[in-house]
Amino acid sequence: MEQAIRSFRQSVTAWSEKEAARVESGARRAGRPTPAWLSWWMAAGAAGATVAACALAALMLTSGHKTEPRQMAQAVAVRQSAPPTAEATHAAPATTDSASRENQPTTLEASMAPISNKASGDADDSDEKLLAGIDSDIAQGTPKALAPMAGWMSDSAER
Amino acid sequence: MAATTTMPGHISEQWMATKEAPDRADFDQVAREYRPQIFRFLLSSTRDAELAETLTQDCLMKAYRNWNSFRGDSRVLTWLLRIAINLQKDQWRNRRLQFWRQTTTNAVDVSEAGNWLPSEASTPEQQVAARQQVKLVWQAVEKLSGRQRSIFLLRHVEEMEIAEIAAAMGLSEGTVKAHLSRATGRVREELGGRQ
Repeated sequence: MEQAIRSFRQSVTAWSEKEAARVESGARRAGRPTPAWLSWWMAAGAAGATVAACALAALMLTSGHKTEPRQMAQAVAVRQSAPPTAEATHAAPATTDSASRENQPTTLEASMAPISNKASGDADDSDEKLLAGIDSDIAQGTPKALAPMAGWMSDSAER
Repeated sequence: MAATTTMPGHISEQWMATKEAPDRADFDQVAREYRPQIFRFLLSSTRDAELAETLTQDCLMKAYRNWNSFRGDSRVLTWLLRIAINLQKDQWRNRRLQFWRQTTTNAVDVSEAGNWLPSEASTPEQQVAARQQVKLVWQAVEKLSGRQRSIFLLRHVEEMEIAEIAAAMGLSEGTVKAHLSRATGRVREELGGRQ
């Protein structure tokens, strides 16, 4: 009995050492630079990193859900409120206080509306000026951008 | 006790004497020192190298997380083995559930487990006899209940004292003795019946 138990113990120890060496060599083959006994540390680090990444993703998602609809609502409100404000003051001043309060943009939106109107107006003006310049160049027959090439072509034709 | 002879450094004995939990930085040394024993116990309990490796990792991670709660009331190895035994219990419970989902296990057969034998035996006949004995012990261990198997392995493979096994298993010494007696009797029967 004692001999059998001793052989059993030796067998388990030999098997365990062999398996531990196999695990370690497998880890080395997989490119893990640390020894196998340190893999618990790596696992703990990986778990921590995963938790941190999840927390960061959750934070980003939550903040995105909060800000995106607000920004969209502001943009829609600005677009809707900007043109009628001028017309509404002249054409329909006889609305009730509550109705006008509902139609009026918030302070932020109200402050943004003239800026956006001015910006869009400036953009339209510059576009019109550019188009007018192009039209005049085309009308003259030699667009300024192509003037050097036109000169070169006329020189070569004369030769 | 033979288990202490396998532990170089005896850091646990120093901690026991001071009754102070070691620094977190010392855990690397603990993991390096006790990992082979935890792995061996789990391998002999499960006969599944991959599962034993996973449970060993889990055990060390759990120990690392709860390192500050260790107050040196027992040896570090006893504390770690208690964690390992609890993880193994959870695994048994899960495996029972997974049985119904047709989940297979990577555990090797007892005859295969018995093939591992250091070439200490002088003659081929002695080697064959030793291998046969080991297979019979594995067959007997296979038939034991989970608790009896753990107690048998802790006593005869890890060579722990009854008091330490009781601490690791969370049982009284009397219960451990009773289970160990039954387990040893089963093994003796298996060896006697076949020899």
